Amino acid sequence: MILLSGNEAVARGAWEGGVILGTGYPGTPSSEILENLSGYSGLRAQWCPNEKVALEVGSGASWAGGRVLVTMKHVGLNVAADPLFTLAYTGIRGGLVIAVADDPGLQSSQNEQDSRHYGRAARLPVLEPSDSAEAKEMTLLGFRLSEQFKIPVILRLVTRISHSRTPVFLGRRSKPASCRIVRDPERQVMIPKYAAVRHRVLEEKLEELALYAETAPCNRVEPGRSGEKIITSGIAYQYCREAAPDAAYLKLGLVYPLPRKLLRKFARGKDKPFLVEELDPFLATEIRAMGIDIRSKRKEYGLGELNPDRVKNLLANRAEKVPPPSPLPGRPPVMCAGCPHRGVFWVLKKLKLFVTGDIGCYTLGTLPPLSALDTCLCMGAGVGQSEGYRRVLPPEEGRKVAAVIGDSTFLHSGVTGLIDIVYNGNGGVVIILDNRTTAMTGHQHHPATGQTLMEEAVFPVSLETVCRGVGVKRVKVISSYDLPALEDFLQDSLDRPEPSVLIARAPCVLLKGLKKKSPYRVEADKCVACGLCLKSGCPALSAGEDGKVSIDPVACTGCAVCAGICPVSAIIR
Amino acid sequence: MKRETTSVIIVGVGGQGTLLSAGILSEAAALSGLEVKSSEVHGMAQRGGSVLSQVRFGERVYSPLSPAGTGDYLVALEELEALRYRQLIRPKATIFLQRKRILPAPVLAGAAVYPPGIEETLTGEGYRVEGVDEADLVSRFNTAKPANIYLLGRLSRHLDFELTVWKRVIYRYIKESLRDLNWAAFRLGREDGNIRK
Ligand SMILES: Cc1ncc(C[n+]2csc(CCOP(=O)(O)OP(=O)(O)O)c2C)c(N)n1
Repeated sequence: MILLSGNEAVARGAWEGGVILGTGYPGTPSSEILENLSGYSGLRAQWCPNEKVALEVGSGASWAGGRVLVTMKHVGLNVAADPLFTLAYTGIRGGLVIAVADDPGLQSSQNEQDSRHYGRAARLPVLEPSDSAEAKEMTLLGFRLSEQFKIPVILRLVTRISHSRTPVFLGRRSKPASCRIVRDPERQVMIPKYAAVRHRVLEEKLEELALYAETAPCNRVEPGRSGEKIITSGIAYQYCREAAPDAAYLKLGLVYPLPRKLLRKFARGKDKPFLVEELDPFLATEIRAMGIDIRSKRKEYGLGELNPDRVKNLLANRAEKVPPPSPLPGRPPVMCAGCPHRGVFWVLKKLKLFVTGDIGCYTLGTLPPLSALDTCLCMGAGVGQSEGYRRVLPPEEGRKVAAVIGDSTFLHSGVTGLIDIVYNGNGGVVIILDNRTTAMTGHQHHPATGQTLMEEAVFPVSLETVCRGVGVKRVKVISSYDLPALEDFLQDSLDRPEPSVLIARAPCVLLKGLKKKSPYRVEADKCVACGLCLKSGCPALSAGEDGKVSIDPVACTGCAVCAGICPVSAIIR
Repeated sequence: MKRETTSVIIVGVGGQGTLLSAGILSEAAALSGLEVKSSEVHGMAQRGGSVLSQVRFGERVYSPLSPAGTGDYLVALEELEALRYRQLIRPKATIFLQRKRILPAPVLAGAAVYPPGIEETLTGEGYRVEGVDEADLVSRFNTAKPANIYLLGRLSRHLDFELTVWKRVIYRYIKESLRDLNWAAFRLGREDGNIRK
C-alpha cells in the first residue's frame, strides 16, 4: 500500500493495464498523469501539439490493437470533441481510456464546465472515481469495459481527486496486446452509409452498458442506520460520508449510462433519496427523466467546488449566500521576478495598444499594475480575435489592436488564426511570447523545445519558419528584454497593410539549468521615488517609507527591465 | 480502539516547502499504520500564490478536506497565511508559526495593508501559538529554508509517531545534500516543542 495522488494512480492503472501508449496535452489538473506514465517502462508517453491530435494519435494506436490512455483537462475535451463524437461510432480495438480532469472551483482554469455532459452527448460511458484507489481501479475497469463493449471510455476526474493523495494497493502489469493492421472500412471509414449503421450500433452498446450498470460492482449500495438515503458519486461521496455518516448510500462509479432498476429500487420507500453531485445537475436530470422521484441541491451549490461544509448545508436544503470578500489582502499569483513576459507588456502598455490575449503565464499581464492584456477566451483565441476587432473597427482604432500568444499555445491552436490573418489580408501584429516552454502548467516540452516527454532530443519546430511558411513576410525575433527594439518594431508594424509577427524570445526564468545573472541594486541618493519601476509589477522591487525603491537581491534575476525603465538611471548592477 | 481523525492544515507561500512538509507528514502517518488522505491547492504555487495543504489521518478517513473549524493543528510558514486559514482549525487549537512576513502583490503595490500584530490577534482569539522567528532559524542553521521541517518537528511532539518513522520519511523525501540539515532542524523543533510544553 502506498500513497498516490489521483493522477499518479491513473498512470499506475494504465501501466498495470498494459497500456503501450499515452498521449495528451498538458492542462491543470491533468498534467501529472502523463508525466508519471512516462516514468514507467514498456510504454511510450508523449505530449502532442493539442488534445485533438492526442486523441487522433490514440485512436490510430487503438485501431491497431494497442491499449491507449489519452489525457487532458476539461476544456481540452472541447478541442478533442470532433474526433471524440465519431470515435464513439467507429468504436475501438485496443482499450481506449480518455482521462479528463475537471476543475470545479476554477483553481487554474478559464471555466467550470462539467465533462460528464460529454458522456451523454457523445454516447460514451463515464467512470468517476472518488479517491486514488478507485482512480487506479477505474482506469483498469475502463480498459476492460472499453474492449468488452468496443467503445472509448471517459474517466472523469476533478482537481480534488487528481491532487489528493490517498492509499492505493499496487498490482502487476498485464501483458500488452500485439498490434497489427486491420482493414475494416465499414467501421473505420465514416462515410454516411457506414456511419448510419454505426450510430445504431452505438445506441445498442449503450443499452448493453446500462444493463451492465445494474450489477456493476462500481455502483454499490451501502446500508445505513439513519433512514436517510443519498445517491452520489465521485468526490461528493467522500464529503457526504463526512456530513451524513449514518445515511444509506447508492454510490455510482459509472455515472453514464445509469442503472435504472437499481436507482428505482434504492429510491423506493417513503423517504426520497437526496442526490448529491458537484457542478451541474447532471445525474439529477437523468434520474428525474427516468421518472424517479429524488431531492436535489439548490441551484447555488452547482457553482464552485463542494466541500464537507457545503454538503452539510446542501443536505439541509439551506440557502447559501455568497460569502463576503475577505478583508485580508489576497495573495494572487504574480509574474515572477525576471519573467521575460514583463518587458513586452511594459512596451504594449506604453504604446497604449489594445491587446487580445490568450492563456498562459502571460495572462497575468492583465493584473495591475501592468493591466496590459485585454482579452482571454480560450487557447488560440487571441490571434483570431485581433483580426475580428480590426475587421469592424474604424482604421484609426483597429491599428491599436495587437495579439499576444505563448509559444506552446501558438502551436496548439494559434497558427490557424495566423493563417486566417494572412488569408483574409487583415494586417496587424501578432506577438509570440516565446519562453521556450509550456510554463503555466509546469514546464512541459512542446514541439518547439527540441525535446519530448521521454526526454529524447528532437528537431525543434521553428516558429519563425512556420510564420514565414504560412505567408507572413515581416517576421522578427527580438530578445524579450530588449525593450527599445521591441518598441521600434511594434511602432513600425502598426500602420502596415500586411501582417507582422514579433517573436519575443527569452527562456522562462524558472527553467532548470538557467544561469541567473548578477542582481541589480538601487542607488538610494539617485532614486527620486517616482515609483515608475514599481509599475512593472516585479516582485523583487519594493518601496520603503520614503518611497525609495530597493531590490531583493535573492529574487532579482538581473533581467534589467527595471533598469531600462528608470528615468534617472538609479538602478545599476 | 477507534482513533478519531486528526487534521493538520499546512499553509504558506509558493516556494516555502508546504507541499514537502505535507508529503512527509502524510507518509509518516501512513507508515504508522493510519489511513491518510491529503489534499493540496498548488495550481500556481511557483508564482508566489498562497498554498494550502490539508493532511488527515486516522482509522478511517473519508474527505481529504476537513470541515471548517475542525482542524486540529495549523502549521503556517507565513503570518498572513496563518491569519487567512485560521478558520479551518478548532477554537483554541495550536498554531505552529514561523514569524515571517512575505508581502503579497497588492501590499507591494500599495493597494492593501499588511495586517499588523497577527500573532497577537491569533493569541487574542484564543489560539495557542508556538512561534519561531525566522532570524532565530537563520542564526542556528545559517538559513531559514528548513523552517517547514523545523515546524514539523514541533508538531511531532503532539503526534504519537515513532521518531524512527519520521527519520525514515525525512531521509526518503529530502535529497542527500540537505538531509542532515533538515534532520537537525526537525530534532531542534522537536526539542523546542518539548520545552514549551
Ligand atoms: C484547451 C486547453 N488545453 C490546455 C489548457 C491549459 N493551459 C493553459 S495555458 C497553457 C499553455 C501555456 O504555455 P505557453 O503558451 O507557452 O505560455 P507560458 O505559460 O509559457 O507563458 C496550457 C497548456 C487550456 N487552458 N486549454
